[in-house]
Amino acid sequence: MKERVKTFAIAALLASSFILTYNLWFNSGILDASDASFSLSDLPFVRYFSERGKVSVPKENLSYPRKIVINDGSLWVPYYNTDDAFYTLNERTSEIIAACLVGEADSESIDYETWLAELEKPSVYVEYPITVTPEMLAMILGTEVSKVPSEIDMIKDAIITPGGDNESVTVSIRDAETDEAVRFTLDDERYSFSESVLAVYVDKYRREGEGYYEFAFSTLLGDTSMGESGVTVDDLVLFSDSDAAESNIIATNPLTRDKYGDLLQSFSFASQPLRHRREENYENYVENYATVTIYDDGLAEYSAVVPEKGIYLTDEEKSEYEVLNSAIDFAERVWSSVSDETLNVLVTGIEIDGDTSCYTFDYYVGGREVAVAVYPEDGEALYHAIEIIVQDGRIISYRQYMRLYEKASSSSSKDNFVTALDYFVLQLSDESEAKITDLYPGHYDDGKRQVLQITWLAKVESREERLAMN
Amino acid sequence: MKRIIISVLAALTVFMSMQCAAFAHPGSFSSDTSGTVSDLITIKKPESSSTATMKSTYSITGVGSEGISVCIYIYDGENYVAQKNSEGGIAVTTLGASGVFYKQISLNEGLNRICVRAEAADGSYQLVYLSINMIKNEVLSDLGSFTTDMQSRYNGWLN
Repeated sequence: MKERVKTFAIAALLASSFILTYNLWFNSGILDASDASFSLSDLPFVRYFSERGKVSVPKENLSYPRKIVINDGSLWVPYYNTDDAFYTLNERTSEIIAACLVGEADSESIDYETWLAELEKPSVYVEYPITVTPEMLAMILGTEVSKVPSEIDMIKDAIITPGGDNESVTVSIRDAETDEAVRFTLDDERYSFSESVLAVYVDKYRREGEGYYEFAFSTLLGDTSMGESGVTVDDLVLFSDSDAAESNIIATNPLTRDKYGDLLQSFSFASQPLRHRREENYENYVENYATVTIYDDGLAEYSAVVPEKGIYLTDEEKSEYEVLNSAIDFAERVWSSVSDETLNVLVTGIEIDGDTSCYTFDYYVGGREVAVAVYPEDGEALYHAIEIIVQDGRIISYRQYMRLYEKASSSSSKDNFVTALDYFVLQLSDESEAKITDLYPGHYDDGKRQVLQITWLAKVESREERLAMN
Repeated sequence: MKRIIISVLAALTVFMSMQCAAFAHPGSFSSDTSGTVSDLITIKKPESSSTATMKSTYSITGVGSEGISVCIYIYDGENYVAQKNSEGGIAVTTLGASGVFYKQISLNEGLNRICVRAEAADGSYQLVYLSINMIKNEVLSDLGSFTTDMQSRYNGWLN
């Protein structure tokens, strides 16, 4: 009997110790990242299990084109990230482009006019959100470059022209800076891509109510000087004749005051730095070699005073692709200190100048880009969701306009393309020979409205900010 | 009372004439109609007044001065009939700051006769007649196989 009592007592003690430990670790908040120097979630094995299966949207988006445009033999139909046809199309086109980069195809040089003429045939045009080296594009597509003709230094887009029943597929890639191009011919059956598939995609997946599109070069308006100042449009701007309605989105600022401590910690600051001052519309925190400014509207800025003391990101010897991936990881860590939602951004810019790289990211909702434009009173304007500057493997500047977007139940109809073109030509009337490099539907967030309607955005050559139609 | 009625009638007349000025493009006109001027717009696409295409959706583009109104007419066998907008009225485009117009039309197989009518504020108008022949893909592939066939026969003779 005595033995049984002892056994029961030990079992009860063990059970209670497990229950108390569980309560202490998971319910009391004693191991919360914000309040303790040691965080359970920082342990490598805990992080491995908690992050396993999580998808990094920016990294996933990195491998996706900005748009895929199909010519089914009539005109063109564009597909954007989140469209039904986009993913299956991307899977097919990515492996075909990757096959060219690894040297599985024969190649010949072609001029820009011949490259454009490929678009007139039943074809698939693939445009990436960033202009990258062939090596980096290959890495993004999950392979390695072994042979790329010398004509191609930077890639932004490619045209895949399917063959007939027994014909080979051709891929025409142009250099984004010189417009010189190379046509690859893939004879391998693994990459066969029938022309008839294109019409099927267009019939099945065209957005309801949406008409056809047409590249500017095909409208023969590409070289036309418009308005008094002679505005021109790029050959690859997509004209359209339809004005379909699209969902509005609601913008909210997730960076509330109670998250400031967590955000500071993500920049390796103490959660309550000693040197701190409050200005009219922002808080400024100072530590030995860096400052963090948090504006009331959700703009957060980190700046290293001395580049060598910036936040360590990665080894200097790492490839551009690895540095970019580390920058994405860092942005996701910063975001997770502010919101539990997924960071839905697209890498839209990479500028590398010697040992300094500048990465820009933009928010992306329902396949549409959100053009951010914030003008802090005492600071520099920010035209992207995130801007990261890395020097010698250290982050010396990080700026983010913290925003969460969700689809509203309401929708709005945008003006037609030519009305938008008229608007931007008028806006650019003071600039001589301005060139519109892209004109596309999206959302514009300057922090002044909470409900953002669909509108037209324009990219203008040699301008960082995107213009929006009011 | 008389004065009020006259004023109302006068106002109505002015209002209606303004409406006529704003929507002066007729619903239809016969094929022998010609314009009063020829320099209001320049058609960019098609490049010539007679063209052929395999595409069932075709775009007509052009440029002109801001304020010129443009309307597309399709020949129905007897007259040129104005394209309608979604409300059932005549689809009129007024050129904006870019001076560009861009209109997609659906083509029928065979010959499509189209007229672009441009009108200035002073009432002068220009008519540009276009013939677009839509050839079906099968016709072209038949032509292609015919050519290949002829070529092989020709080669056979040579051999």
